[in-house]
Amino acid sequence: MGGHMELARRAVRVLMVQKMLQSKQHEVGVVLFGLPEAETANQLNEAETSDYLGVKEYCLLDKGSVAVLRKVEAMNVPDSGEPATGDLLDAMVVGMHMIRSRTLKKKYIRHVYLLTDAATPVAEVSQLGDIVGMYTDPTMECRLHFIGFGHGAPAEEGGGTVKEQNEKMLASVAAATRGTVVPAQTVVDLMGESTIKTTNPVLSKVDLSLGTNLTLHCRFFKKTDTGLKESLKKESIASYDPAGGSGSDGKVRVDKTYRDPEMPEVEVDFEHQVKGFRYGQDYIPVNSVDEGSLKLPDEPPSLKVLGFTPSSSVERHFYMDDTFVLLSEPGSGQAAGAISSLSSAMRNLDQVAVARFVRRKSGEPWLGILIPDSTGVVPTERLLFQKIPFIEDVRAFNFPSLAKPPPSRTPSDEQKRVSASLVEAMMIPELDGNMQGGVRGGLVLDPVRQGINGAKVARAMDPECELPDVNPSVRAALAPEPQLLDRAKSVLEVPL
Amino acid sequence: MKSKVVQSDKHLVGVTFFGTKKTSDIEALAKGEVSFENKYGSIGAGDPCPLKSGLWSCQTEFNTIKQPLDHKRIFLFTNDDDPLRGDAEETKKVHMIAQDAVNASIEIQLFHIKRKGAPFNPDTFYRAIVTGDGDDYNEQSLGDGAESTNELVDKVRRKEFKKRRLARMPFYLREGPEGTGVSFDVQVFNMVHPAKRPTPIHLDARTNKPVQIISKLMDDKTGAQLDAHEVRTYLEFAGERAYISKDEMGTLKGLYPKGLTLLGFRPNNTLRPDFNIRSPYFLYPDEESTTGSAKAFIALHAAMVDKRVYALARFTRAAGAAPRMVALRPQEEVVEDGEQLQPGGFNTVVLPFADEVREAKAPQTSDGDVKAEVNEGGVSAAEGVVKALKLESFDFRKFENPVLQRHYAALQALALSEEEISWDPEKDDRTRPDEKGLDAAGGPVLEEFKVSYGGDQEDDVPAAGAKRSAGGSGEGSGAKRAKTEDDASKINWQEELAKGQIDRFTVPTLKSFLKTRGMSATGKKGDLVARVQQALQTTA
Repeated sequence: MGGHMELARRAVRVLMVQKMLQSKQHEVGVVLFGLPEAETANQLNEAETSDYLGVKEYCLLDKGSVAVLRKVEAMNVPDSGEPATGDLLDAMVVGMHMIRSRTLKKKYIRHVYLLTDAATPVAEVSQLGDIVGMYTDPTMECRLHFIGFGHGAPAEEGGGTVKEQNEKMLASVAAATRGTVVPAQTVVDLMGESTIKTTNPVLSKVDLSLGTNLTLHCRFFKKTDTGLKESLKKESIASYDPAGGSGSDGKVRVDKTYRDPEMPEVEVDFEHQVKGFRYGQDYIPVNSVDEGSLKLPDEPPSLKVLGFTPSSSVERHFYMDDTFVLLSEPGSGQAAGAISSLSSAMRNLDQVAVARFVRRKSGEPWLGILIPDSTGVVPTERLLFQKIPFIEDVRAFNFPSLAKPPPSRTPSDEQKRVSASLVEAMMIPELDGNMQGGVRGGLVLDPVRQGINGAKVARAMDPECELPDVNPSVRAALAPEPQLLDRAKSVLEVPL
Repeated sequence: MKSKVVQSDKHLVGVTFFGTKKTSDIEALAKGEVSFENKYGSIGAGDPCPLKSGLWSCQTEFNTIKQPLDHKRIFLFTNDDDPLRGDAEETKKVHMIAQDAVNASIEIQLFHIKRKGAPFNPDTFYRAIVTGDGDDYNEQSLGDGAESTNELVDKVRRKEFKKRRLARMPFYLREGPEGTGVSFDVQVFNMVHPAKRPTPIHLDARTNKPVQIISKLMDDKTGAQLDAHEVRTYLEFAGERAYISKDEMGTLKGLYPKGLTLLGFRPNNTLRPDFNIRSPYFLYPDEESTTGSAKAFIALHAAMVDKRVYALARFTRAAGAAPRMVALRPQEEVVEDGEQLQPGGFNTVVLPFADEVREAKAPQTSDGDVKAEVNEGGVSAAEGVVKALKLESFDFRKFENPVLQRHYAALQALALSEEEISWDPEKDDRTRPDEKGLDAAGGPVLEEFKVSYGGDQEDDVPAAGAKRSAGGSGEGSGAKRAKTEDDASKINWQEELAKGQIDRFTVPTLKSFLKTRGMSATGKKGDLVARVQQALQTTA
């Protein structure tokens, strides 16, 4: 791999950091191949015949740590002066063995990332079937991702053909294991610290009811969740000792004292305190019995339909919270059929259901609408729930009319023409004609979160370092597309 | 009506009746707005109205309040467009007092009630004393009067909130260094904001006054109070602490300066209904900051309405705030009977980032995915249900938040020692469906729908919450369920021991076995298993 070593090392680091950012529980390991024979170090080679030469188990599978990252950064191939002779099938077998010995019978999702320029001939292609078999074994399911180097030094014999054949082979293995094929440069450029921390949403139970007679067992989950941001933790510098045992973690707690505002030095004991609410100028003390009367009676989780209304009667800008998805109880053919029929009926008639939603036991009731979900990636029919406001939530401010503005605010014909051409020039092209579409058509990664991830990794590796800049590709996701700006250039030169 | 109009404990309120002057502080608080309601006493139709003293007493009232006030308003309720019967002298005095009020930054707002026969002409008298807020729809026309109490209440509600802008900011059509960018200015408003039930305050039971809460940072180990410099902040990565200060965190968040930047346009139908995280912000041109903003805004707005597109933009609400991707949807003005129901402007639908969207795994069961088969009969039956259960003129503005209503009603009952709480969840909660009505209206179609998906048959899954009590079928993996159902007395323990399967049983099963042997049933599962094995070996 020689010349590609630097790129490979960076790609490995990126992949490793991603796994570690996603979850503390993820385990990572590294197998090197194509090393000089003297560097050989793998269990298979020791246990069996000396068939797996030049393959080294560089880092055994374990939970990701800063030490492993450092080891990857220091990774280098000793120059033995001989051409590299690594056989990627050998590496696949050794890698699989490492995974197997650690995760056999465990419910892991296993990924192997194979970095190679695919330029060396493969010795025993006949074994490929067996190897693919290992990777697709239902008890040890493992995805193979092939990360290749686009244009490297031509291979010794046969030139591009060896590479082409190998690439074809790897692509087919990747496909067979539901893996991917990506160029290494892409991994390094695009991914950086950008990662989506995948959390499986909790599917909570709720019964959807229409009147007293019709009840459907359903589940719901929160589809959009902004509450996943990391916040800074506090540490008492003096009592933090990384090497120390329990109690030396430097834990900081917030201590609240209650004082008489007129005599701040006097502390008010707990027995002299009572909860209360403001009522006009007075404070009304509320004991635990009274407190119950301030709340609505407890209710089980429920989703009760009040009736149906044209979808135009609740405009998009009245959606006021995270989106919830309602699906039928897994395993219930009845509920699935009912939800599917209801969803189609509402879509056909352009109606939405108005519903009262209590999400958890004794939770606050929400008013909202159920909309047929035509956006899901899952083939089963689902409904979306969007919370809508109560009268208390709406501020009906009035503003001077934009439709009939006074002359001082009426745009000229020229301005109207310019605006129309601006819209035309800056239309974002549909990438693949669907709503999932590429970066602009779909969603972008949160640049702030990516920045925080980058800072976190950098400081964990080196506490004194300057914070790194946010990855330019992440930043670009929230900047106008240069081509669009180019197209709009002439339009935007006209002063508005 | 009084309670309806100003139902908030955050306001200072007074009521002044014309004629029978009676001023009383009902509710008061340090920081809040002030509303005075002026209302007729019963005076003869032809008599000149003592509006002068009414206004004057309002102002005096304001002067007696020592706390700094957010803003001061007088809501003037009347059905008389010429209260002074053309008395020029008196009119002049009233105008002077009104001017004084304006100078003292008191707003006067008029709510007039229609009379039978005579139209209300605001120009006769009131035009001169009413203050507009300069940026108000009703600036030019004072609008129509209210015909009923309900309508009046509705109008007052619209005025209830002081129009408060969140921010002014530039909207860049093209970014560029100082002076080279193309932009206009906008104002940002929050038109929908969830009203929450207040959190309780800690009171000193002896004085009924709130106590002051002082928070300190303490070292959990030594119990010593910590100063700011003795604490540092970190995030965890791979078990290591990555030290990042609050300031650095601020720098990481504040990637872009305050403002909006246009990214491009997309057709309206591509805005997905499932990408929502909060209520939108509302944008309106800011002509005050930059002249010409309104023209540019209106031209762009019109072009977008015309072409049925929304704009994607980057939105940074304040300096140092985290950026957001937003979809700007042009909103058209809606006017009904001279009253603006919805202003024109842009709504900025805040879109989630890719890392904020989650997807559930496809539901899986032992017999594979449940495929919802398209059932023609089912769809037409469901259409019948949708048609039968149509709500007449649904408007969410008719729904009060039951949580708030209950809270304030119950609090009032406590405060005034009322026996009964005026708001009853059974009767007054309009968010509860009219189940009897639904059953009646839906009757046969609901039945038909039920039959179409088999809902009239025995249910195919246990009811929600019945996981533990329902026996056997459905839910969860078979093996696990079997464990729960095991009866300790029916197990051949020696056989299980021989097979080395004692740890197959659940903690309750193991415990019940140990109890029958009169042995301790405490500790972790490992301990229980060991004890069971020990017990079985000794008996064997």
